[in-house]
Amino acid sequence: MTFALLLRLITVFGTLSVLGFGGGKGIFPQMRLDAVDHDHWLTAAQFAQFYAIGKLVPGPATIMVVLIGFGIAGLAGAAIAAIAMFVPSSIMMYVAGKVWDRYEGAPFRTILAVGFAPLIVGLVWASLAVISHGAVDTPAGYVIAASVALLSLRTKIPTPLLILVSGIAGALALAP
Amino acid sequence: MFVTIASTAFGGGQKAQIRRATVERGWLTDDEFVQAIEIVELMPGANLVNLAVYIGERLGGPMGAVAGFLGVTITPFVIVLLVGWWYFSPYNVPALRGALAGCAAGAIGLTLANALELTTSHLRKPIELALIGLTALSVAVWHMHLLVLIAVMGGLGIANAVLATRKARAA
Repeated sequence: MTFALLLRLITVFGTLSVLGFGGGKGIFPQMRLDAVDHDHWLTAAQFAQFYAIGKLVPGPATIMVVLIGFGIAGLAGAAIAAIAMFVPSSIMMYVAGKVWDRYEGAPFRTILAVGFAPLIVGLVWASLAVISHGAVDTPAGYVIAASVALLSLRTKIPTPLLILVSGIAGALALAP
Repeated sequence: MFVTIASTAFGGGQKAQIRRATVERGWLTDDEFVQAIEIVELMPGANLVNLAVYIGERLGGPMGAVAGFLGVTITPFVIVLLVGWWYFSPYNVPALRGALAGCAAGAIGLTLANALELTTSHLRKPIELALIGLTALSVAVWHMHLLVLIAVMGGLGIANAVLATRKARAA
């Protein structure tokens, strides 16, 4: 791994770590724009697959950065991507956690939470548009996505199971 | 202490599991847990990791925070590493590509469901709804950078929240 690439990995994921308000779901559109459309580290289809794997594995969905890092620079890339993704936000959380308890019931806490909500929801819609672009573009893919959306809203089937069933449907309908 | 926190967070799954592990153990009260969730969701970073850092710090100071962090990240890291090793190896046979594409489509479907679900509580609030639409458009069509987006849309959202609080107080 070259030094420039190492630096770029740290910059991309470190920036996302610090800007990831509202948890992981707000950062996926920017991650896809950086990693796929700007740096060409992976294809749109791969990104959507990694996104699915992140939802499948127990733990934070953003752990999928390990796959991006691994694809670029093996074990070292995987480790650096994970450190850049999780350490900066955790340090901020550590500091904020100590301050937070001192402001119990302060009005700015509600204002921040209410104020950021539309941004986060908008970013989830953006994830849908950006991640599916160039990745889910066949009729069978649309049917799988729509069915999963409906099942997720109307039933209590756990998320990993829905993704696994999509995989089986994909093996039957989307095989190259 | 370090080991207890790390191994408790180790189960590593979802928020409900951490809640059970901490509240039932008497580490946090139900009320404190709700408070924890509030800040954890507000701060940048994965909610689950933030929660582990916050609880770890309250229980065991800096070492506790490190334990919480490692406990909740190490297992998923190793699992995904193994997946990565397989994904980029010859064992990722073409026959499985359809299955992977299916998983991707499924994940997109989950995102659609999540977006719809999150939007419902804003339906009767036209300003918030407009901000949601504007945010989505700014990213999807104009590829606006997240930093700019947070400054502009976050700023507008907070201004709106401040005005709404004032109006509620005046009424």
